[in-house]
Amino acid sequence: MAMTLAPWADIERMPTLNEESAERLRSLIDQPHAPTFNNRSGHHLNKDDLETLKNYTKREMQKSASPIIDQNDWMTDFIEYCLTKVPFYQDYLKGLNNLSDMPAVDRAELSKDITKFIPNDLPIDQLIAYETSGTTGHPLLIPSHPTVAARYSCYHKKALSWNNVNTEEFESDLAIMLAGYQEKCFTYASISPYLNNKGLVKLNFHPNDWLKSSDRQKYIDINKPDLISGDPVSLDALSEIPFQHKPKALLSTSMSLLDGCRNRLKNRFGCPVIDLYSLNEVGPIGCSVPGKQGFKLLQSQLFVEALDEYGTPLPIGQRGEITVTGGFNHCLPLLRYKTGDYGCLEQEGNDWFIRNLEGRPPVQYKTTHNEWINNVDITHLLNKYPLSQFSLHQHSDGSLTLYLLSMSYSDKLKQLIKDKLGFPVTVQPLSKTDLGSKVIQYTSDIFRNPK
Amino acid sequence: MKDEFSRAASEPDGPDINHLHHRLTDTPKAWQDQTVPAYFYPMLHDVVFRHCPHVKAHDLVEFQKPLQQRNWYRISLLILFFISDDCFAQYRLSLTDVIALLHQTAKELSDAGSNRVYINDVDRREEFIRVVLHSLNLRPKGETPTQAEDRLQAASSTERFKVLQASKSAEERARKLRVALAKQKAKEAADKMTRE
Repeated sequence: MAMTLAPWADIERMPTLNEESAERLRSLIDQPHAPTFNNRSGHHLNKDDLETLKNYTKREMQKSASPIIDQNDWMTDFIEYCLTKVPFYQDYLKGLNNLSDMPAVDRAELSKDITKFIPNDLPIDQLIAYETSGTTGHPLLIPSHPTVAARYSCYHKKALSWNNVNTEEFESDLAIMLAGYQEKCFTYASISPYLNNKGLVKLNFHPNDWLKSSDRQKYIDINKPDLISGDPVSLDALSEIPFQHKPKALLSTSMSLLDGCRNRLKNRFGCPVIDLYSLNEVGPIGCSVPGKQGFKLLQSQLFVEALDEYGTPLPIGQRGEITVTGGFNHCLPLLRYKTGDYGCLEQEGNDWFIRNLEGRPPVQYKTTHNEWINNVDITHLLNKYPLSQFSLHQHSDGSLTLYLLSMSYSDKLKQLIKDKLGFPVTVQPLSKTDLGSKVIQYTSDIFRNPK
Repeated sequence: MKDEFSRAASEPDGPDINHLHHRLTDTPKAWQDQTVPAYFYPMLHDVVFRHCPHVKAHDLVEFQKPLQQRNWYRISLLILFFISDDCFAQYRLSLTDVIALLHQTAKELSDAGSNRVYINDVDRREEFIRVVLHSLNLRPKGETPTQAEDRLQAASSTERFKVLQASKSAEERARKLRVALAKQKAKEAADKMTRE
């Protein structure tokens, strides 16, 4: 029978593990207040991969992203590669060369047969996969590679640097803690060579995962993670745990982070809270930066457009479906991939932003005066409240139900929505089964008749 | 490859091949070039409906993609014109066969040649006709199953053999990818600093 190596001796998952980092990992796992780590993970990178990643990061940190086609000199080669090497695009009409002539593809197409999007020259043996359910009913298995997973660090570093946080100045042995709050969650401890061989732990702060509930704050206060990442629901749950440690930054992903929630987290943790717009299909697309609205575009080789319902690019400033081309996942080259999210592109100084971002197509709510209010306006209305997760549904008789995780502001929010739309509003708790999954934020039974 | 040709034995007697050569050369000029007309889908629906009245819209979703996304629609268009000939009216065609003809067979023919080649080159025209008849489980009028089989094999171009071979390799790679991804799904992936 094969012997299982201790996590701190796991050179299969962490090929560059040395004595010092092994000891660091051991101390993160083998301590009195640590939870049970129920899984294993690692970076799977060798020395050459790490050198390549270092150079990639160095280059990318200097570069900016632009939604102006002429400022993306990589595009021609990328399109040619897709049309010649990727089975799905090989079927495209011969003679298409310009991005503007390319049809858009959506998640349903990827979900139907993801293998058609994997380049013919990609070796199969090193493929890894991330599963994603999303909110569209099209589950996806995203092909990836350890070097692709590691490239996330490059864009996180870029986002952190735009928020005045330098990972080179991290002091703790635990560089990053991925915080979850679910009944069941994949947890592990690992070492990150791209964070100076410091620790990376993925933890579940649901009390079920800990011997004693108080171990949670003790583990954080003892190990002092420099960075904490998680979705707003997990970060909100984390903020209730009475630990003293102040991280250098919080990275929020997966769900919309309202200003009210961001401010609450900022006050609680005493550090910048960076909102990331990130998708399993393409990684981090944009991040929040101090004093600016929206998400500043992160990837220099990810071309972002806002398309109308016919797939035509909209002028800068007009709201449409966010559609991406390129990206750093060489296992899944995307040509005009419709993300299912809606927003507009705007320039401020030399920087480009996605603004008014909302998941799924816009929903309009009817008022008692027969006017129509866009869901973006509802977001603006609720923005200052610390809501980590919510959803709003309009019934066929016009009445509304607001679903909330916490009832703290329920009366105030109910009144605000009633004042805006005129119809009666009831508030209900968001089902616990929705915790950790993506909730469809805006829905309605009333469809606006076309004029 | 052998399977494809042995199927010919069960195929019923079909239209006269000389008539079909004329049909193909009578293809409207507008449909010989690169452009697929905007009315492609309605036309496809009508032709399929004519042969298989029980067709449902969801059977035809593969033909509702943006025209730029499917180069092989051009060959589907040629096939539509071809099988709209009155001589096909007397045969009961199966919906599965018709859809496979307009999709997979069209894709293979498209990878091996263009509309112009199949119309203007007499040998490739013969190939096109025999491949289409075979896909519909028919054989040229007056030919025995063995003759039809031999002549289909003789008419098949090197280009088409290559395409069929490549198509088999692509299917095998897709199968291996599906297995690899399913295996990876059950395992942990690799560290990332955040989860989406």
